[in-house]
Amino acid sequence: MGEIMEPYRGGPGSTKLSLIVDLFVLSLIIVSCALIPVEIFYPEHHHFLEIVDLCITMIFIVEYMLRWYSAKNRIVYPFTGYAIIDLVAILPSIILFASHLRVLRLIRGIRILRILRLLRLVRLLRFFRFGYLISHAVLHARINLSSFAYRYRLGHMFKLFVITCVIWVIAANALYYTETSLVQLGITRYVKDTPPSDPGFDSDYWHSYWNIIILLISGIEDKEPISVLGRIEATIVLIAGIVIIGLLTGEIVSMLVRRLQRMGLVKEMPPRKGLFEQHIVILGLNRHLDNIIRHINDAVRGHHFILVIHPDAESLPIMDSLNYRRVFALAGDPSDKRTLDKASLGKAARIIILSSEDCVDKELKDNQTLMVTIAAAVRPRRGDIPTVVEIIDDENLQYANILQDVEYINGKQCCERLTSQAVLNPGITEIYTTLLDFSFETNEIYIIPVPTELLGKTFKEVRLHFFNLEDEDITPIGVERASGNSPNAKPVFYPGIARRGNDDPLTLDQGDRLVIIAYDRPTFALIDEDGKWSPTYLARASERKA
Amino acid sequence: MTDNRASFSINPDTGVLMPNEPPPEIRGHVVILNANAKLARIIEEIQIGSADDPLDIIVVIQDWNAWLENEAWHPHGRYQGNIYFREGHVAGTEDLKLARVELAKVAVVLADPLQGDLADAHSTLTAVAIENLNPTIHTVVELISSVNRVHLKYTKVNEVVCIGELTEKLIAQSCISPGVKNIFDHLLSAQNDTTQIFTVKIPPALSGKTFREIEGWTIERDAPFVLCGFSVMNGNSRDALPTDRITVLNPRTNSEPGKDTSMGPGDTLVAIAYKKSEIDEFLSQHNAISG
Repeated sequence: MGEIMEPYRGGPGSTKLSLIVDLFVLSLIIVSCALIPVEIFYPEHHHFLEIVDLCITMIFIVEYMLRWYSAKNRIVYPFTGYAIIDLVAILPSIILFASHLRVLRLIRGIRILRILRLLRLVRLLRFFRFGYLISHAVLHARINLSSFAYRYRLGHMFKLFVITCVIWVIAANALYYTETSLVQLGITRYVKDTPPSDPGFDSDYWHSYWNIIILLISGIEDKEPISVLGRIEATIVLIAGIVIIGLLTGEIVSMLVRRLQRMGLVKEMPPRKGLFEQHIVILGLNRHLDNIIRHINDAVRGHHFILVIHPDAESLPIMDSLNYRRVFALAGDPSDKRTLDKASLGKAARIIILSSEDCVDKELKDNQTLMVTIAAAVRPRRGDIPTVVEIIDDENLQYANILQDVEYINGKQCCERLTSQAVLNPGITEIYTTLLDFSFETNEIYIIPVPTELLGKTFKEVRLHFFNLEDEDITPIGVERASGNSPNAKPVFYPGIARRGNDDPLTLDQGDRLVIIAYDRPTFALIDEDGKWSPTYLARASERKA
Repeated sequence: MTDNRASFSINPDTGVLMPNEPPPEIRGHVVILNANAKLARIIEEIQIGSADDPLDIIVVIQDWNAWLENEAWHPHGRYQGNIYFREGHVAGTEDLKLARVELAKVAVVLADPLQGDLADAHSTLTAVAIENLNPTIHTVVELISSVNRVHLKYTKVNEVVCIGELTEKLIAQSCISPGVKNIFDHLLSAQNDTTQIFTVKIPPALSGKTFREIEGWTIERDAPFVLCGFSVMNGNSRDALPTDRITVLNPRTNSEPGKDTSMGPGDTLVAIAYKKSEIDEFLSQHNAISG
């Protein structure tokens, strides 16, 4: 039952039956929302449409009860976002059936809120064209809204607003009944010298709401309560009003002060669990961070969020507002499990681990970096997330083969090699600089699956194939293939040049990947719609341009 | 011209340092200014990469005591080229002359380890001093901070290697395209079983041909290299700075310079091969594209 009522996510844990249930509910939502305008244009069919609405509501009620029953935590479930949306979708129809309360008919229109239930089915977007784009837009909106609400303390304001509303409703009702029913019943007496003809604080039920809100917000009394108990209640409301206004003022001042303090600093990550998906997590902070963020943004053009984790991350200054639009900071120890959980590390597309500048000794620096690597890499997570680690001492590169999907960068070693190359091959640094840049005008090295029509061909035939291609400019330089039979074997690069004395030409086999130099990822190697839903997919600016 | 400062060379038979002065007739060598943790590996890579035509190296070391104390900075091995270590001021004219900078082919200015992050100023001035002494020398300067690269733009320094910039770009590349770093490791290594990117001058027989014609010709002839681009000079070559050279990788079909740009005598081809000698040999043997 739990698997069927669990929303379909498209993964191995989701069943086809849950997909059918989700699609059935989706169609009912659309039908029930469509009923509202139909009722307006065809009022003669009102009775029939009411019966249809009743049937749909009964199905929704059964669905709600079943989801509640099969929820992992039944106590928490009714307070979750989706459960509240489901309840809001059902309640107006239930209340409507108490049709003798004419005023409640006014809220028939609230049934349109059922459309919010469509949010539950965002996961089904993978079956629709542009579904990934819509889903990604929803993700961005969710993150931006959460960030906005956190920065302006809207959560606190909302709680204050709810408390104020509750006090308002309770006080209005309490004072109305005190001034009318309780006084008439003699449970409370008139204040001395009050004329019996005095209508009292509230002779009209709805007027009492107006009087209470004025009392609460401004402390101004329009009319005095005529009963002793009424005056006590009014006093409580006055005190509550002072407290509420004080709290509201405090919240606003606190929010303004915090905004001033955080001007020019990177946005803090909202404390909402599981917010980020397909994001890039940077563990650690050093002088390379700004340029790394800039290069990543050159490649993905802000399509993915970047989260920086370090104890001092929240005091990170914004160097460039354009590049830091999608950058968030989370203060915490990057090797601490709780911090990594908050960062939704298991849903990240990439992880970068930077060497710390806190230690001077390079051995200690690398030890710290490796510890963070272990904390990030040996966690249960959705697939293997490509991880890049900065190492200072090249002696520690021997750890390179131990953890899967971890690449180690040692700047010193690369610098030595490039310097030697510059001596041996003048002009070479510009070529490597060009290959390492992300821009529409420069080339990059791509590793792509071999097109089917090139399987079994020699590398010469492959070169001729791309040489004759007019639509795209591609230079193949070699082939990458696994070094052994084990699925964990690291791939090896085979240049597409025959060695002297070796007559055996390089041919492309199944499982090989072609290494090319190109301006953009070739059109025949673009990621398909299914591949975009992969948790480690990174949308490139050049692909989106195509 | 000699002085009393320390001067050693590596014994080619034992690989051990012994007192020795560079011979006065040395020319076409490499001069390395400053010694730091990268020195040993750089010397090793240069020697491996120039095995066919061994390069002599003279290293000018300003802080001789620091060099002696750091055993890890000393190259260990037997090399075909001669390697000399001289104590001296890296920007001093006399010491540069003693290192035969006027006759050297390449000068490499390494960051002074004692200056830490502020070494770039000294490195830049050292490079300028070398260029003043020998304007035709190919200079390679190691910078610590990429923000200082802009100051070298208007000098005659030929190439800049910035460790910080390289680290940042490699990290970003590995993040965006996992696995590409292995390709760079392969191409940057001077080991015999790896390919590298080379630049070769256009032979006279190919002058006037377009890149497309040259590329097609090399594929048909099973050339032992992959052509991936070319480099042309932009502007008057007499006054032009090194940064006025345009390098085009994977030229586009409809652009200028592009696939259909004619190659001139001063232009160079960019190719990937195991050895440069194989490219030169192929081009000299197949010295004309048949019509």
